[in-house]
Amino acid sequence: MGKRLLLIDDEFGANQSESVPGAMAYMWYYAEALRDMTYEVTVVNTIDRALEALATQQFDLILLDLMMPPGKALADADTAAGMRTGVVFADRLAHSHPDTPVVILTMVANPSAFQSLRGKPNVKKILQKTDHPPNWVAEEVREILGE
Amino acid sequence: MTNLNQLSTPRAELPDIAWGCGSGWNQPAALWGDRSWTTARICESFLDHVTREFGCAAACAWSLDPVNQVLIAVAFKGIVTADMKTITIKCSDCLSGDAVDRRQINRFEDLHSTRPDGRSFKYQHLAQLLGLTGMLSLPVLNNANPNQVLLVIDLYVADSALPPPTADERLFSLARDLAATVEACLYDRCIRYANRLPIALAQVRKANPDRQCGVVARLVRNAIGCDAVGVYLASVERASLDLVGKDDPGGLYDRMTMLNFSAMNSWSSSRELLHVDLGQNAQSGDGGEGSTQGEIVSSVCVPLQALSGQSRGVIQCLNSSMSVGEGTLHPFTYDDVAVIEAIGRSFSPQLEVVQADQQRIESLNRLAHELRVPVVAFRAALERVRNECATKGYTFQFEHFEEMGIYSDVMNRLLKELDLMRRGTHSIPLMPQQTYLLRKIIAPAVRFVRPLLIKAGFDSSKNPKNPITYNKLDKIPDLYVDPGLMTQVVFNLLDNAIKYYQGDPAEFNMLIEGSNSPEGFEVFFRDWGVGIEIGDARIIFEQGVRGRNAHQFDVSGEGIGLWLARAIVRRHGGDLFVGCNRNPTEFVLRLPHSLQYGPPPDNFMVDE
Repeated sequence: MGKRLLLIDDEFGANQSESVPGAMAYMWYYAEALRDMTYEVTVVNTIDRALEALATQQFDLILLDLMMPPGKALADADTAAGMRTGVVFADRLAHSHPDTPVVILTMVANPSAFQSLRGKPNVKKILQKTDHPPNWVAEEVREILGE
Repeated sequence: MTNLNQLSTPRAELPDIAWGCGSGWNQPAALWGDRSWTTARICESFLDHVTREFGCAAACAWSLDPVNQVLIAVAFKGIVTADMKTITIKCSDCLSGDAVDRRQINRFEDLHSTRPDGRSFKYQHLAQLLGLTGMLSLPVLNNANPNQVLLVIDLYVADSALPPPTADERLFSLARDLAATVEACLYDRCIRYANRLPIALAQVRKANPDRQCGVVARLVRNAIGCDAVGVYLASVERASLDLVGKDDPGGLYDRMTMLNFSAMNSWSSSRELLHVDLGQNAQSGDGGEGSTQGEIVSSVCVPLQALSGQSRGVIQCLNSSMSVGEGTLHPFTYDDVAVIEAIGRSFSPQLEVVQADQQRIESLNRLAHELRVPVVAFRAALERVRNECATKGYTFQFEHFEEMGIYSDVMNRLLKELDLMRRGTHSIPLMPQQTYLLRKIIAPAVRFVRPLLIKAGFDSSKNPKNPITYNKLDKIPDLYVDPGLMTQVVFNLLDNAIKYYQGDPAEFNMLIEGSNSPEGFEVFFRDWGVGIEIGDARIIFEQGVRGRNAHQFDVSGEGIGLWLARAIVRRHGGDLFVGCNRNPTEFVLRLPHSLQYGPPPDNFMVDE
């Protein structure tokens, strides 16, 4: 069995089961590219569901979007109305899952938005979706996992 | 209530002003142009004079908050702030309020009695402490509008007679002089600082709104001599009020977390709000939860109005005092409001521009994000289709995929240009990484311009030569640059070379050559196009400027490509300039040697 990845991105749409071609959820292509590399990919579209998955499963790597609704879990955190949800959650993961590498996969073009993540030991890469199509992301993941 | 026992009013000795009655008074030359001559300081000097002349034990000057009908103590003689315990009193229930209502001198022989209308002397402890027995209240009226009370002067006596009614004429005469002095100083400060603002703003006009609001904050702080100033602007999109600029050397805004509430109140009510004791006054509803123990924060909020009269933001000023040590409580008054309003009015025209800029940036942000989604989705879907076709063995015209890929790259590049346009070149954020220029920057840029080469007929079967050739690029080692932005630079240079070529398509040639010179690593871009007119070599790098040849040969463009390209190179600590005007036209991209060892420092500023 391939390594297990958790892909957290609200672009998977309101109903995760509809994250298939035709559902206008382009993140499906990213998930498929990773599956093509034999990874076992779990996709979630909210922080709350991510926490549920993390509570019941072990993951070898987490791919995390930056701009997402904070959900109940981060309702009290300073997420700047969801603009920094990924930044805050990556910070929490550094404490709760310090050994699990995190890759930020974002549409945000301004590097200052994720400046605070630089140098954090659990955040291995910050990839912009505009410059990293699915196959490139899959290659980056393989490199981080040392395969 | 705060313990103010440690508060005092140690103020520097002022030059003695020759107060006199009307004709006997000389306006002190030192007064004009000195911003420290606030109403409080003028009143202190005045109190010093009248207590001496009339043999009073103590005196207090009150400034009027006409909206809330509250008197605010601004100057003392023979009393310290700590003795007052609270320095605001409602006009309706204090003896001094009588002078506001009647605009006449009032004498109160017995400070311990309560009048039939409920008014009484609010500082019985002070009367006991200093043995005060009587009080005279002198209203200071606006010389131009006798219905307006500017100040109230209270003179206290201890076991001696109050100035008799025969002294009224002289007291009023002194009051007229005081009013004239206060108004003249106030007018002087309003005009001087309001006039200074456009000059200060002109120095940062090309910068972002934050900097402009920072200039306003700094000027207001200088004008009224307070501890901190914040400028809030309303965001139309989010219906919120954001702190955009501040001048806060003492870090008050970092300590106080609830300041935006008073700014919000001022904004939503479109009127000024004075809080003498923001940190402690529970009735104000502002909490002041962030203040340190014993810290008292006074604030004034004045709406920033657009030319149309709409409230577009707020200027907030703060003064902090500690209840221990030698601190002095410095409340704000309506004179401060007048100065802030004058500066705010002077800012109104620029505010329109700033807000239009903000709206433009917000709209572009939204548009850019909306555009990125379909571009990313298109590229991802295209990649998937190509993969599936390849794995399933379909025989397909893969050139079509390549073309779609190139066009999606072009869309991506345009998005990056849009990002730079909306952010402005003064704050280009970099994502530097160790990069081999040929493989990661020049080759991809050449790939991006291929559709343009094909369209212009420079890259076809009729032109067997490679239209773009490289030479000596191996002289440049791996450098720490932002590959995406540098690719944009090279693309813009190639794009220009293609657009400005008017000769035989089969003869189009461009040479990209590397060099390691003492000044830095250099990449020369040479072409044999129409060239650059003498005198245009410098101005073509300015925003919106296009060379004379652009018009002559009807070349499309907005005049931003070279401007952006140079800004990006300068952000890396390098430069982009014209090496040769014609035959060949040569652009030189120079990068510092230091980039082979590490990324450019963050403080490289782009000179616009």
